[in-house]
Amino acid sequence: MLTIKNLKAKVADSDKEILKGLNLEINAGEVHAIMGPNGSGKSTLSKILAGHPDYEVTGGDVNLEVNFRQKNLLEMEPEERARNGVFLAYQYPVEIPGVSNAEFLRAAFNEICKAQGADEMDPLEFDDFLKTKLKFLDMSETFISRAVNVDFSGGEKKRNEILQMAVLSPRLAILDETDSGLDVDSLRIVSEGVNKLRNKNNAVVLITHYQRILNHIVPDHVHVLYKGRIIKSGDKTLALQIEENGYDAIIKGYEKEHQREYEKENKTSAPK
Amino acid sequence: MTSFLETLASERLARTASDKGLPAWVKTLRDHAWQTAIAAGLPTTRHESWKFTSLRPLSALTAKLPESAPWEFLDDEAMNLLRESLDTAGLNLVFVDGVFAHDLSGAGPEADDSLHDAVLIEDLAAALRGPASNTLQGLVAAMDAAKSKLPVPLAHVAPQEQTIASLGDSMISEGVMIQIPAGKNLKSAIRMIHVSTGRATSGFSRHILSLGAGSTARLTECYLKNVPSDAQLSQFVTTDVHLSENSRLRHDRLLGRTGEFHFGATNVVVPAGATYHSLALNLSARIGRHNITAMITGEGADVILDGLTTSRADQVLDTQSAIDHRVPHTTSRQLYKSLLKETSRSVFSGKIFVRKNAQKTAAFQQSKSLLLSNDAEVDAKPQLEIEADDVRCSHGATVAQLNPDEMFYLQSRGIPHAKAEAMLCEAFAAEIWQTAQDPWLEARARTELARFFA
Repeated sequence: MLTIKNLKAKVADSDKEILKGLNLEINAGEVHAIMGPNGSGKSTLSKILAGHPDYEVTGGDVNLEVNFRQKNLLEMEPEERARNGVFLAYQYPVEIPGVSNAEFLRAAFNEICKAQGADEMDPLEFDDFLKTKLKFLDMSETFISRAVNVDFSGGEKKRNEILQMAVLSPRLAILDETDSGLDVDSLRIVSEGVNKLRNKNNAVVLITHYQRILNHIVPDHVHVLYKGRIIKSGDKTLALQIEENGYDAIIKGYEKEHQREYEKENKTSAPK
Repeated sequence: MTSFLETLASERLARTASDKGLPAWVKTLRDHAWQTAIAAGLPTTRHESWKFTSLRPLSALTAKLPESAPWEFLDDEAMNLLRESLDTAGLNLVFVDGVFAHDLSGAGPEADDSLHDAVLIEDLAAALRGPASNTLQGLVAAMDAAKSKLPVPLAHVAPQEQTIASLGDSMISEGVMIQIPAGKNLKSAIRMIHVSTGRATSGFSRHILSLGAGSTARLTECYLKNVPSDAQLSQFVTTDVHLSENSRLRHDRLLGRTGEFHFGATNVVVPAGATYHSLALNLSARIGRHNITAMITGEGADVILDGLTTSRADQVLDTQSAIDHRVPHTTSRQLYKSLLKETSRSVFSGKIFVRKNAQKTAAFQQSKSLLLSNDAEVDAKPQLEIEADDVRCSHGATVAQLNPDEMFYLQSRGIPHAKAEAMLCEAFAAEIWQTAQDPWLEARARTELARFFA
C-alpha cells in the first residue's frame, strides 16, 4: 500500500538532513511500529508523509496504492493526501479557537466524501453519524460542541485524534506518539478504538518510544529508526528486546556494519 | 477649498429657495456649522487623527444633495431588503440616500405593542417645517441645556473631528429624534436602516436618541445595499445618545456598503448607573470612518465597545474611539478585531482618559488584527491618559497572520487551503459578530461576511 524508497529529507530553509535514505514497505491489513531514540527522525517521517511544509524532501520516492493504482504521494498537497486516505494522528494536536469540533469534523468528512464521489452529509445527518462514532469510542457528546482541542486535557486531545480517524476511516493511519502522556485508562480506550478501526484494507503505523502501547495494538512488524534510516526490522519480539536492553546493542551492531560499508564506499570511490 | 466643499457650497445655494420655510434657529445652526467647516477645511493627513486616512479621494468627489423622493429610484434588491426587515420584530426607520422615508418605515407585525405610544419619534425633516418645529426646538434646547451641564463639551474629547461634524450640521435636514420614557423596557429593536439608490449623492443626517431614567432599549443602525466602487456616494451621519441614570442601551451598528464614503459619529453621554454596550461591524466602505465618543459622567456607569472590521481591495476602514472616565467607580471594555485583505487598510485609534478624580476606574482595551495579505496595512494606536492613581487599566494590540500550524492541521484533514483559511478567519470574526443582539442584523452581517470571504 505504501512504498517508501530511499527517502531523504531536510528541514526547510536549513541544511539539516534528517532522513537519510529510508526504506519501508507497508501492506494493507498490517500494523507497523516505528521505534527509535530521540531525534532519530520518527516524527519527521510522519510529518513528511502528511505533507508538512516545514520539511523538504531531497530525494527518494513515496508511493501510495489507491484502488490498485500507484500514486506519487510527494507530489500531493496535504489536503490531497488526506483525501487519498492518509491520516496523521498528531503528537501535539493543534488547538483551533472558534471552530467547533462538529463543524471541523463535518468539513473534513464532506471533503473526503466529495473526493471519493460519495454524497455529503447535512449537519443533522452528520450529527447522528458522529454520535455513533462517539459511542464506539466511549466518548461524551459534549466533545463535539467544543472548539477543536481548546481546553482539552492531553488525553482528550489524543482521543479526539482517534475520533477524527474513526470519522474519516483512512487507508493509512500514522499515529505519532499517540501513547505519550496518556494514563493507563486513556491508553486502553485509545488502543481499543484503533483496534476496532483496523481491517484488512487499511494499515496502521505506530510511532512510539515505548513497548507499552504494543501490548494493546499488536504490530506485525517493528522497525528501529536511527539517524534517518531504518537500521533493524523484526516482528513484535523486537520491541520486547528493546524494552529489555535498550537501543544500544542494536545501534552498535548497525554502526559496526555501517563502518565496514562506509570504508568500502570510500575505497571504491578513491581517486585512481 | 477642495472640489467637494466647492460643489457642496453651490448645492447649498441651490437649496436656499426650498429652505425658506425653515425656522430661523435652524438656519442659524446650519450657517454657523458651515462657517466652521469652511474655516477648518477637510482634514488632511497632517492632522494627527487623520494621519492614516487620506481624504484625497473624497475631496475629488462632486457633492450632490439627494433627490426629494429618492425612494422612487430604489431597485428590487433594496425593496426586498426592506420588506424582509418589516417582517421581523422591530421598529424600522428607513432612510434612502440619507432621506427619511416615512412610507417605507414602520413596525413589524411582531413588534412590541407598546412601541408606538412609548416612543416619541420626530421626523426631523417634517418637524423642521411643520408645527412640530417648536417641540423640536424645545427638545434641542433641552439637549443643549443637558450638554451645557457636561464638564466639557463632547467635541473636546475628539477635537479633530470638527469639520466632519460641522459639515453634517451645516446640511441638517434629515434625521429622527427618539425619546424613550423613564422606566420603559423596550423589547423590540429600534432600527435605523439606511439604504442607497446607488445614485451619486451626499447625504447628511443627524439622529438623537434619548433614554429616560431606568429605561432599556436596543438600537440597530445599518448602512446596506451595495453600490459600485466608483459611485460618487457619501454619507455624513451623527448619532447622539443621551442616557439617563440607570438606563441601558444596546447599540449595534453595521456598515456594509462597498462604494461609499462614510463618516459616522456616535456620541454618548453615560451618567450614573447607566450602561452603553455597542457593537460596530465595519464590514465595507470605500472610506469608512467611525468616531465613537463616550463620556462617562456618573458613578457605576459601564461602557462596552466591541468592533469588527473587514476590509478588502483598496478600502480604508477607520475607527476612532474615545472614552472619557470623569468620575470614580466606572468601567469600560473594548475589543476591536480587524481582518484585512488585498491592499486595504484598517485603522484603530483608541483613546482612554481617566481624569484625576476618577479613582477605581477599570478600563480595558484590546485590538487584534489578522492580515491576510502582505500588502494590507494595520495602524493600531492605543492612547491612555491616566491622571488618577488607583485604577486598573490595560491595553494591547496584536497584528498577526494566519497560524501555519492551524492551517496545516485543517489541510491535513482534507480541507483545502482556501476553505481552511476561511474557517480560521470566520472563527476569528465570529467572536465579535455573533454577539449581535438583533437576529435581523446578524443575518445581514452573515451576508456581508460571506461576501468578504468569497
